[in-house]
Amino acid sequence: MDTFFLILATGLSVGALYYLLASGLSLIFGLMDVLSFAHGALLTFSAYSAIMTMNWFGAASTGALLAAIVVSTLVGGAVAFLVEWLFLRPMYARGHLSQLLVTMGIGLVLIAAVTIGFGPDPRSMPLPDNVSGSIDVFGVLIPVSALVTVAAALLLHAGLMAFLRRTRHGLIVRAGVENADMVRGLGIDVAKSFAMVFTIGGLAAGLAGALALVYVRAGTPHLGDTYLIYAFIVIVIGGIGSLPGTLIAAALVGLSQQFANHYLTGGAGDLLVLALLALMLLARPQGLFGKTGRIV
Amino acid sequence: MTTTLTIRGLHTTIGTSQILHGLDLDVAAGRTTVVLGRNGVGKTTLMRSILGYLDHTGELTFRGASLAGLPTHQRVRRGIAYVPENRDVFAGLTVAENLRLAERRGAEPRYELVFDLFPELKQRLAQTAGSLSGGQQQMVSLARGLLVESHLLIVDEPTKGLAPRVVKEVVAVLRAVREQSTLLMVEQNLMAAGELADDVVILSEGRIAKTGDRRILANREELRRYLSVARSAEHGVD
Repeated sequence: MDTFFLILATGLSVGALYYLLASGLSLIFGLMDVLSFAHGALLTFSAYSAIMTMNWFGAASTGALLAAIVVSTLVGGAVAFLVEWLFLRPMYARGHLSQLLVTMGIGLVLIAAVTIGFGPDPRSMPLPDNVSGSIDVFGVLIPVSALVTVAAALLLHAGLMAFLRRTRHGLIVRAGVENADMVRGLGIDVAKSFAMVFTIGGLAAGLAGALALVYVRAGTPHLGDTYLIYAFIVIVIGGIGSLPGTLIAAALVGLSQQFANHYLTGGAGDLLVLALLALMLLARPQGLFGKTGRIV
Repeated sequence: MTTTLTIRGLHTTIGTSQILHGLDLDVAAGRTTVVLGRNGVGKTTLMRSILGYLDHTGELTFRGASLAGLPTHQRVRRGIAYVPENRDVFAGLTVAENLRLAERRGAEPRYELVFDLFPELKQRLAQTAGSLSGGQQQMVSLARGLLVESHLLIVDEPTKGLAPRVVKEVVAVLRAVREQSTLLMVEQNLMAAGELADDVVILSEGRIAKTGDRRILANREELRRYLSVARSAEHGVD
């Protein structure tokens, strides 16, 4: 029974990391019609800033970890802001292929920068004892890292939903996901919303970078690649542009992976997720919650 | 007569097709100009060019200032309101949210006016716009265009696809609106055009074929030459 709950916690934790990356991607694609292949590298780049922050503090204290998470989040947001401003904005009128190539190129540059700066080998991030251990939850030992990542994903989800539902900027984003042209026709500068949403996506990727290290304990220049692939699968299964759908799909994918890997055989989880994706594309191409005009 | 919008030599190309060929047009202030023409002659392209949705060449002067190089949202902020052909309400948002999007900094929203014109909307503020009927969606679209005072209201086929009873309601509303604003309308329904037009512009193959006042609409033979007029739409022209 302990194993079951441990796998449950691990699955939700992995799903939480997928959500952190996928939520931003989903909003970005929904509003801007841009598939950002740079987000995996953004996660990696931010994660290394977290490692640098922890190393700068020297001791693996809770305060240092919090600082590393904040730095990683801000680095993700800042890089995303610059990417949108310098590279994507001139590309909006040029169609999907140009945008896709630009984001892929930026991703490669970020990964190259990390490789040049830190080398290709894994770099570990020291964690404070109270995060690297486990705590007893109703008699089951659950890794603290799993609770931290799940809590972060739920907080981000609540924050994004509040932003979308309760602010004018959120209202503009929701309207823009439906029809950006009509938003312009009401005198609203959608380009500002594009920059804001891409930056929010970057902040979330940065947060995912630090929390991925909390979960896997070490970073490589290709840390974000796997997360990016599963984040895309999550947004397709959840329904592009739907945050609740993304949240549920992220949990579904994370749990399917972990349970299949444990109870079937190693690697079965990936097959199961791909089977889920294929099934969804065949039976319900718009995804679980994909419905025109609804993102919250 | 003062002119709100002056267009000179407007050329618009979509993809490889040139739609508008050096079009000249004056929209007189305080009057309603109705644009007529067969499907595909460039009526909506003209409206979307004025709003800056489509790349174009030529001079567009709005209230004495050039619109050259301005993106859509800045043209709208200069005082051009837009009610698009397919209503384009935000289906997933409520009626209240649709209206809230039309609010603008520095301009007092005219909710009283909007609810006077469309009392039904006040009862449906919490309803999602996607669940409204076509006529109700047109009301939302018109209400958004009217919420903030503008100097030119562009309305693209406001009666398209609506039931005859709803067409009458929309025409009644537009009759009230034309008292307050300069209107530039695309309208295929000749009854509606006849009730609203001060000036008439007939487009043919991306060029102005004929302009004049509303008396143009009374000349059936001439209209037939330019338009594919469905017999049912002819009623009410006289």
